[in-house]
Amino acid sequence: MRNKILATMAACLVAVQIQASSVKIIDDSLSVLVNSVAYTTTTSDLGARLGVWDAGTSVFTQFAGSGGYYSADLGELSTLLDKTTNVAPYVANTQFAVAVYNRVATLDFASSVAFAVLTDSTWKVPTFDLGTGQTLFGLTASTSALAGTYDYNGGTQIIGLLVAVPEPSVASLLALGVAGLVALRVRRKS
Amino acid sequence: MKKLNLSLAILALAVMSVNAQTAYSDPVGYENVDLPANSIKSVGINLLNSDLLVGSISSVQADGITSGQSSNVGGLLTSGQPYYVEMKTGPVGSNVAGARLDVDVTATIAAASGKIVLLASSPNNTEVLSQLAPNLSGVTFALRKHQNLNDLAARINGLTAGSSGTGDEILLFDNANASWTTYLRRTTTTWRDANNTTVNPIVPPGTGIFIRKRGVAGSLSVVGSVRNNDFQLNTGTGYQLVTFGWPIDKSISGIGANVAANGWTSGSNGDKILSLLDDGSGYSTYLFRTSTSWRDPNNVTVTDNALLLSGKAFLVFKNARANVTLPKPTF
Repeated sequence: MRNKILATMAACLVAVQIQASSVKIIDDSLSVLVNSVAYTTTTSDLGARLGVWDAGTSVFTQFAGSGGYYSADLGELSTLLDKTTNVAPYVANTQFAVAVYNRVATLDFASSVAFAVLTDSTWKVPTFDLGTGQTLFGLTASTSALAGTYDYNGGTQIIGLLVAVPEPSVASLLALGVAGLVALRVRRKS
Repeated sequence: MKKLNLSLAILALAVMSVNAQTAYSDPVGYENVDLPANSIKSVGINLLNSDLLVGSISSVQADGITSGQSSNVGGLLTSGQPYYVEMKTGPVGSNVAGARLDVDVTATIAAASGKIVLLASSPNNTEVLSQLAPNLSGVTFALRKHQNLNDLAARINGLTAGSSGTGDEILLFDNANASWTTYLRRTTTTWRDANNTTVNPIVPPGTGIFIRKRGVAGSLSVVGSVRNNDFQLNTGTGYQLVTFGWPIDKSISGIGANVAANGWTSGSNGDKILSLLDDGSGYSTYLFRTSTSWRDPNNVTVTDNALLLSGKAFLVFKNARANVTLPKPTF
């Protein structure tokens, strides 16, 4: 009976401690170089997405629901993730990264043709809840580039030389070509 | 001269008789919400845009309704703007009164008749048209324009545009993904989503919002019509940010939330209402514990007559999707 009463009270004593409902990386004094050329397009922003970087496979996994952009005319990088729960992959304290990519054709990172990935030891997924709090992160001297290059002390904060990545269709054709060459070589040997 | 005096007297009597007649209109209201600098406030807008058309339903089709009061409903609409129909009456015991259905504006304009074509798949609909259809004949409805973020912008004094971190923001809650969606006042005329794309989402009736004010204090002032019928909330499983239909402070029983037949579920894991604390540091959580009583965080039965403040939004937690009916209060 006592346990039942305690269980009932526990059910009623629902307390929600506000931590954060979102994380945001902001920077308003940034310039971006695409293949050594300053990105100055004002009609189309570069995309930016929060996610995690797997250095072993060089794969950036975008957090679903995150959005963001780099606006050349404003020199502004902004990327935002709104969440209310810490379910995978938004596990609290996981170090996350930001990918800045060419989004001329689409907002989708997966089909981008060039990108850079930055992270910082202080960029950790907070504890999300229903709250309205927002954890802000910025680019600092300790920010590093996992793909591309980053120069904090070069006058302005710079992401340099975005990494060109083959589009999936190109990669598939390339793989097919290699497979064909291997098959040809094996056939000649036999 | 005498003839003129007599005429004036008759005219005066006529005017007096007209004055003696009492004319009733739907009530109108005014809401003001202070928005301090560097704060976040939960806001519920329970005032309505004016009725564009009030009529009765003469027939129901698979994709819409027909009104006998207008020969061209489409002529009342502006292409690209969002509209909805709200049922003002309905059979007792049905969930018709207060039901809302979004309008297919393009098709209604093209029909150029008394027919209002409805968007069957709109997430804002409180019910499926086919479910309502058997009880719709003769029902009185109102046609209104939805409110959107641009409408709200015009009503926020001190609204500040800026970049991320300096511009004011409005947050909507996404029930399906259990997440917040943030819209930034990027310029003096535009709201931007997280991709920096200019957007103008609607705020359907019953939907709460959070307003994040940055460095400049302001206020939200809204004038509009007051609903004069029952209200329906289409609640999904999990959390949703809602308002309760009228611009008046209410108790929990005042919205009919202590009656299971209205769509509320009690129990140790029953429905919950969460109220954001004034300092934004957390929520007070209220639980529908027994079949008749709601409990506060100290397990004390809630008796506050004005717990559900006008102008405020509340998070509601439901274990299962339900149509919730809020009976019209007595004005």
